[in-house]
This record gives sequence, structure tokens and C-alpha cells, in this order.
Amino acid sequence: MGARWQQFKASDFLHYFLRDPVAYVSFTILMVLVVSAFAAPLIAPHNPYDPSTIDIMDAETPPAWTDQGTRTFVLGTDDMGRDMLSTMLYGMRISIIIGVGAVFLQAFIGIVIGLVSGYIRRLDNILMRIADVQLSFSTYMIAIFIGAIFQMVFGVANYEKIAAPLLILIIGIAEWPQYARTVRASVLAERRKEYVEAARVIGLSKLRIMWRHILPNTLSPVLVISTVQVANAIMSEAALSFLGLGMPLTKPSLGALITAGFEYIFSGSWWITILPGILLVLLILVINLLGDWVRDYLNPKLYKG
Amino acid sequence: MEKLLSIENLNVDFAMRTGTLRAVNNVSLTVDKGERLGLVGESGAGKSVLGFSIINLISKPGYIASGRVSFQGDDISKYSDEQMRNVRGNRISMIFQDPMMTLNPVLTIGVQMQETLHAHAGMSGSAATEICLEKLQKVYISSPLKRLNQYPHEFSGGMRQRIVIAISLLTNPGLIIADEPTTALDVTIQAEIMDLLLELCKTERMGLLLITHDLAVVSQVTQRIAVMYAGTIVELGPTEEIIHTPQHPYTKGLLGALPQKAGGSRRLNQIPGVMPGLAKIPPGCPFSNRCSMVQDICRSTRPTLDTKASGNQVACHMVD
Amino acid sequence: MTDQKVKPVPPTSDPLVRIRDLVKHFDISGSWLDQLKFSGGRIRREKTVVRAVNGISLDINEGETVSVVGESGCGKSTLARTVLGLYPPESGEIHYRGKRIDHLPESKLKPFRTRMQMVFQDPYASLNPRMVVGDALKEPIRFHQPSIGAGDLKTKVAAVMEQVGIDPDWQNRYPHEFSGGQRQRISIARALAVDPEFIVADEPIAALDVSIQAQILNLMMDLQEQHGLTYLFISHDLSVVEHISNKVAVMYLGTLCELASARDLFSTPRHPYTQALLSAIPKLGQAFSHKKLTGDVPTPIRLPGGCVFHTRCEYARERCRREVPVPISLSNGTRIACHGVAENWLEG
Repeated sequence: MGARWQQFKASDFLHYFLRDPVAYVSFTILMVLVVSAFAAPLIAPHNPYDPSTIDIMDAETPPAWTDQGTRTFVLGTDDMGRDMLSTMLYGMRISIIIGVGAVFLQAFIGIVIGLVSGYIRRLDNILMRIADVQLSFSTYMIAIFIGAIFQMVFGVANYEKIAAPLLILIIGIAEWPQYARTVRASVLAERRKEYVEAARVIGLSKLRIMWRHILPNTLSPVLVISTVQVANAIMSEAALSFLGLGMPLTKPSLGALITAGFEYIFSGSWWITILPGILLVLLILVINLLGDWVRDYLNPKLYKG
Repeated sequence: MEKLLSIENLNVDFAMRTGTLRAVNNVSLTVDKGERLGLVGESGAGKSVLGFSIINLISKPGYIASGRVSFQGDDISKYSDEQMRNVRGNRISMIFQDPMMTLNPVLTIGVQMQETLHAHAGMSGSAATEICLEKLQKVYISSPLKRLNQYPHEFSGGMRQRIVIAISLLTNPGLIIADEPTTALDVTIQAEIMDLLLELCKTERMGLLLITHDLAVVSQVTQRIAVMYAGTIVELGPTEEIIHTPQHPYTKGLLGALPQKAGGSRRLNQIPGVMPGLAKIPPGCPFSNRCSMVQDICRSTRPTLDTKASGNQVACHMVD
Repeated sequence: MTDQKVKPVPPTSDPLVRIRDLVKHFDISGSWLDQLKFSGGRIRREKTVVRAVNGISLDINEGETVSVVGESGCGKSTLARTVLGLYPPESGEIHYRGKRIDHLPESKLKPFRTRMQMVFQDPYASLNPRMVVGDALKEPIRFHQPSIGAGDLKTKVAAVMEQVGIDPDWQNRYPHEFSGGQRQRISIARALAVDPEFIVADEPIAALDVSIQAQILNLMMDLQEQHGLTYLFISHDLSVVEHISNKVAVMYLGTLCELASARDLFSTPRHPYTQALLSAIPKLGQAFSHKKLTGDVPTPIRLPGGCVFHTRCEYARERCRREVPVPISLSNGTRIACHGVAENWLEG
């Protein structure tokens, strides 16, 4: 392991990373956000999910730096009396979990289908047509269907319990064609290469060639689109929650928080919607910036000097 | 008489993160009007870099560190971008290896040819078409009028290269730099294209700088040869002399490694080792770690390209 | 001259590899939607077929080096891959040591795989960039000898690396850390790892520098002597071919024009295409004297009728346009497919 670390320290990757302020600032901010989100149970001043600690009388308290704010609720409270800071931290945690989870699902389905589609010609046509059909369904439509059916069959209370995994499922299924197409394009390019022919001359089975030879060489583009897809997934979840199809108000994600607070802008309690909004934008921005940097780094044609 | 092209002590460097690497080391060359000079070397020797740096086409992280390039009396190494654009494709044309990369696949031949004329000579319309047809005929393309409306993919590799040559002739340049113009072509087509280039240089009185690794081709087309190794010219002289009586150990090794020179034995004469990458060039003579005649002075002092008794210029301590 | 360099091989009763009337076509029509074409006012369905190999017959004897030469599009690479079972032929037969191997299912073909291997042209694409070279060499050995112990495996890999001149300590390096010549050596090592008898080399030195070419060729010839290998050598470089081959086959658009011993082919080429090809090779220090071939190279999609070469042949007559020439054997053993030679109306 020591040797690997030495290699990493001397690598091009680290060198260019440390030289680009956009890269390391975005990375630092992202780390701060992620760590604080997952450390929410430890660092949040209040527990927004424990009804016994919430007092409706505290509702709509403005942030601490205004006249009517108090130190107890640094960023104010929402319409139910929950501390904004704590709810935002927990909410960010949920947003990240759903975003990353959905991307894992998309990637898994997409890579498998892309590999099979690219390498086994007979299945290519049908699999890509399925992908086309999948793409023509909008994510929101699927969310409405599935969400509505679920609530009908299992009741609203049960829905709230499985909202997060359900959202992962929905966003995961909606976006796998992205991965499938990217991987398929890579596979089509790689299978012509002579090392694949060499593997066939040795006599290796199709499965082994796909897994051991082709797959590792298709992962670079997968990495590149993954960062963008995580940002997209978080946004999709936020949008769904905004439309009321996502996380319930009892366990809100950042999107749900934005929704909940939206109507209060006009009554003057701007912080309920704006603060989670800023946090969401910041999260997505740093993910995108990092993703851009990784993509540029992996592009062999760009000047590196 | 003023030389057509004169390169003096040219140094081209690459700024890498691990340090600066010198790809072209103190190169001096001349080409007379109408002369054909061959630049021979293996991949990594720096010959393409040299070719590109003549018309300042080196992109970052490469740059011209020092030296002078003069063309028809003008110091073009100091030219601004705009002045250089007037030289490239106009007074000096360049032909590259893969015609499919040089020709824009979505434009017809006619458009690409007229584009050049418009940019450099300000011509258009029927006057431009006249010239295009004339040049296409010079490269022996049949039915040139019909061809003007065709796309590159409708032509074979050999024909595409002819079209590229025709485009390079449009502005009657004084010098053509050809970088491996036939490497991507079949043997029979290669012979035709080289024949064509030879004929055109003679009739149009153009200078030719032929960059290639193919010794046989260069021996048939050029009047003088410069042999390049690891960024330096190691031998320079008339083609006949270089091919039949090479002096520098590398040139000897290169010619000796050809199958025609294996004599009666089955084994080919190989040069041990490989040409060093730019970061690993030994101090002193760059060939010192592979040379059979190496002495101490070779390892410590870099030899200069001097005229030796034979009349050729050789960069070697062991040759007088 | 050539015979002194290349050890003459005594003919055995059965050739190691026997290829008979091999035909391989590629259907590149695409899906049925792509096949629809609008012509003459109607929509028709057209198939586009690349006729890469059209009836090649060739015998390769044990210990020989047989070279196949030709220009791009002649089908020599397709031939190489079909012989190794990478493509199923449309028709024709391939026999290995008397046993028929074309159209065998992969399970039955497996034992033959250790005996026939391939070396490829592009040293950059022929090694998996994400696999250290040690693993690339271990893989074929472990696949064919699943019970081999870890120690034996390591020894074998080290041995084969040394044979090709690569330091065994570099097993854990990735291909991009080696030069082009070194990668080609590793490819050769991979082919050798399973102890083959027959190696197909598809332009193994075309992508290398001149001085490295000499090294690799010497290596291949040394290995042939040490292991008694048989080579099918695909190349467009005629001077190399002249130097290392026993027999040479000249291909044009999927057809065998001339098959002769190297000495006979280079001293007295009979087929007009062979003559043109040989005259086009630039000779060191001599002026150009090549025979100009008229016309363009046709594509393997729309083959000319009759003799495939007739559109560019200076001697072509009516019969050449109508009839495909049947290969005949000449007194010195040369097989040639040309009406002019058969009927003796070629000049020279």
C-alpha cells in the first residue's frame, strides 16, 4: 500500500489537481458539505425528526443575525418549528444518498446492458430500442405513476417509509440509457482492437472477454458522466420533491424543504425556502465543477503544460 | 545566391511538468531554390517537429527556444501570427501523411480549393475555377470539372493525396514540406505519388523538404539527405554519397539494417538498443550508448556537424 | 540466393495447414432499413457484401515460412483470421494436421488453440492497456492448463519473457510503460506462452521503426529455429518477405494471383500483378522504373467480372473480362491464375 501511496503522490493527477484552484476549492467545499451532512446526527444542534423537541410556537423564527432571531436557531425555523440548520443538514444527507444511490443503480443497469449490447450483435438492436423507449418516458411521469400506485396500494404512511429507496429506484431506472449508450460506444470501439482478437485466438469465452478485457477499458467515460449524473440525480429528486412527488415533509430532502417554504416567501419568511435553495445550488455547483475538471484531465488531447 | 530556406541553429523545446525537453537541438539546414532535401530519421527523432517549426505550427507545450528560420530572405521565425498566415499555404505549403485528415470531409474539393485561393490570392469565381482546373490537371486527375463537386470520401487514398498536392500548388509556393506523404499508401500508389512529386518539383522549380523514415524512397527522390537522430542532424550530404558511403555510425547502422543489406546471412544487422526518449538522451553524443565505435570523448563532448574529408557533414568524433 | 538464407524444408506427406477454396464474405448491409435504396423510381432492397476472400487454396508445410503479400483490400488479413477460426468461412475447408477445423464449435476448437497463435500488427492495440503484462502472459497459460501451480506459472512466464528479451522483473508494468518494439516482443511472448506450432503474423513489423524491425525479425527467426515453428507471414513489405520466406503467395482482391517459392517469385515473376508490384518497390539508390498500373483499385464490394485484375492489366484481353482464370501449376511448382500465362500470350 505504501508503494501505491507514493505513486499517487508523485502522479500527474495530484499535480494538476493541486495546481487548479477550481479543482481543490470545489473539492474542499464538497468534502465539507458531505462530511457535515453525514455527521448530521453528531453536529446538528437539534433533531428535526423528533416531534417531542419541536414546538410549533417556534415556527417561522428568522435567522440569528436578524432582529427577531435567536441564538438557538442559527438559521431560523420553518413553518413547523424545526430548526433550519439541522433540517438542512439532514436534508442534504438524504439528497446525497438518493443522488449517489440512483447513480449506482443507473450505472449498474446501464453498464450491464451496454456491455451486452455492444458485444453481442444479435441483442444490440432490441436492447437499444428498449433504451429508446425508456428515454421517451419522462422521469416525472414515471415518478407520478409509481408514486401514485404505491400510495394507493400501501397507504400514505407506508409510502413515507420507503420514499427514499423508491426515489432511488425511479431515478435509477429513468436514466440507465445514458450509461448504456456510453458504455456501448466504448465497447464497439474496443472490440475491434487487437487485444480482443488476441483473447479470442487464445480461446477465451465471450463472458470472460467482456468482463476481464473490455469492461475495464470502458470505465473512463463512465467516470466522466457519473459526476454529472450525480448532480442530475440530486436535481431530479429536488424537482420531484418540489412537485410533491418526492420526499415527504416529515423527512424532507433539500428539494422538499424548498417546496415547503415556497409559499412563505410572500409572507416574509424568505429563509425557509431560500436557504435550502442556496445549499442545493452550492452542492450541485461543486459537483459539476469537479466533474468538469475530471473530464478535462482525462481528455488526452487537451494541453497539459 | 540567396538560399530559399535557411535554418540556423534552431532549438525547439517542450515545457513538460518534469522539466524542459529539447526536441530539436541546434539544427542548421539550407534548401536552395528548386532543391530537394530529404530529412530522414526514425519516429521520435524530431523530424516532424522540425518540419512544423519551420512554419511555426508547433503547439504548446512546444516552442521555438532560439535560432533563425529565413525564407526567401525574410526572417520568418520572428513573424507575427498574421504575417505567418500569409506564408503558410501560400509561400510554403505542407503535405501531411493522411489525406483524409487534411481534407475536410464535409466540403467538396472545389470549395476547399477555392477557399485557399480566396484566402491567399483574393480570387474567386471563374478565375479561381480556372486555376483549380489547371492544378488538378497537373496532378493527372481526369475529368477535373466533375471532380470539383465531389467529396473527399468519393476518392481513393492515392487520388486524395494528389488532390492535397494540387491544393498545395495553387499559390505557386516556393517550398513544399512533405511529412511522410506516402506512408499511409500502398506500394504501387506510393510509387506514383513520389514520381508525381519529383516531376512537379522539377517543372515548377519548387523546393522540397521530404520528411520520411523510408530510406529507399528518399534515395530516389532527393538530391541531398539530412539524417536526424534524437533531435540532432548527425549527417548531411549528397544523396548518392549518403546511401552508398555513409560515414556516421547511425547512418551506417540504419542502412545496414535493411533486408537488402543482410548479405548471405539470414540474420539482419541490427543496431542494439533503442533511440532514447527526449528525457533520456545521454550527455555528449546522443548515439554514444548504442555506438560500436564509442570512446570516452563521445560520452563527454557533443560532436558538432562539421565538414569531413569526404565532403559530407558528419557529427562524429570518430570520423575525420 | 534466397535458399541459402532460409532453410529449405523437406516436403512431408501432409502439410501442417491445408486451406482449400476458402471463401469469406462480410455482409455490411446493416439492418433492413439501411438496405432499402431508392433507384429507378422504385424502392429496392440491396445487400452490400464485401467479398474479402474468394477461393484461396494454400498448403503450409511444417517448419516453413509462407508469406502472403498484397496491397490494402486484398484480403490477406481476413485470410489470416479465418485460418485461425476468428471468422467462420462461407465455404471452403481448413485442415490442421489432417483434421478439419473450420466450423468446429468453440469447445472442440479449444485444443487446437494451443497449437495455433497470432501476432498482430499494432503494438499499441494488441495488449490490454489495463492489464499488467505479467497477467496478460499468465492468462493463456492458465486457461489451457487450469491445474498449473502458481510457482510453475511464474517460472513459465519468466522463461518466455526472457526468450523474447524482456526483463522478467517488469511483469507488473502496464503496456504503456514499454516502447513499441518491446510491446511487440511481449505480444510474441504471449503467442509463445502456450507452446504453439503454428504462428500467424499479421504485419508484425509494419508499425515499427526500421532499426527495431531488424531486431524483431531476427527474434522471430531465432524463435523459429529454437522451437521448430511454422509461420504464415502477412506483409506488404516485399524486401522483408524476400528475405525470410520459403514460399510467397500474392493476393489481389481476394484471389490468389501467384504462389511460388521466394526465389522464383522474385527472380521471375510471371503474373502481371506480381510484376507491377515488384517493380513498384523503391530500390535503394536506383531511379524509379515502375510499371504504371492504369485505373484505380476497385473495391471488394463491386468486384470486376472475369479476372479480378483485368481492369488494371496492360495485357488484358476479351477472355480476361469474361472468364475467371483457373489456377494452373507450372513446371517449377508455381501456381498461377492468369489466362495470359496459361495460353502463353504475355510478352516477357
